[in-house]
Amino acid sequence: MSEMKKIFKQGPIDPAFVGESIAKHQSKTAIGAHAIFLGQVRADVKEQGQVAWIDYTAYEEMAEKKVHEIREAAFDTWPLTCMHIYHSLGAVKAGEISFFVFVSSPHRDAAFEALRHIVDRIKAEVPIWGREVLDDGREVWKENQ
Amino acid sequence: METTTITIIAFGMATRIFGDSSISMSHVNDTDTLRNVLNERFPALVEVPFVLAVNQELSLGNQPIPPGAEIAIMPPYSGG
Repeated sequence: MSEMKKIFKQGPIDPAFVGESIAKHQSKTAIGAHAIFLGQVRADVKEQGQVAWIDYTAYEEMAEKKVHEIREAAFDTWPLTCMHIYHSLGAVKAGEISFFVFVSSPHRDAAFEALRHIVDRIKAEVPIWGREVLDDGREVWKENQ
Repeated sequence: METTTITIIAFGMATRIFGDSSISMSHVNDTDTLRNVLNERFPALVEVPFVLAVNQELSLGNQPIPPGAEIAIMPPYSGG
């Protein structure tokens, strides 16, 4: 559990990859609950235009360390069977998936709580940036609420 | 005597000022001094809110900078 996992994927996260990830857990029969968060790029309408795609960059090494910390803290807090975290780098178009968090536990309460906590911490603490590119080619730097 | 340097890398909207590649500059002792040096050399930085990471550790308040350190200029995150 202490090995550092790769979290970044170039481009959008394929919904088929999400399906395959779920299928891989059919052999882990102690699991009774999966909780999944999928972040999708929203075509926000700004004063300057509508968001067409987001270009994601990260301080990769620091981000991986931070995600590792968050992962270990969650395993220490909830009885989780497993956890998978992926985030896109590079271009992700509106409607595509850029963030995938998958938490499994024997029971649903732990899965729901851990998922919420992990997603919130990643958005607040992991050095990832999104440059929103508008339909006319102009750009806006996104800022998490 | 060889001058000791530090490496600065910028992220997010700070790449508008620094570009995508890292820059090398003379070593300074702490992050407060670095902020002053940066503001002087890159006046446009005043418009960018940011925190600094020293060797991938978030720096809150004034932190010492070891020689050869990698300093990241990090505007508010926007992952997810």
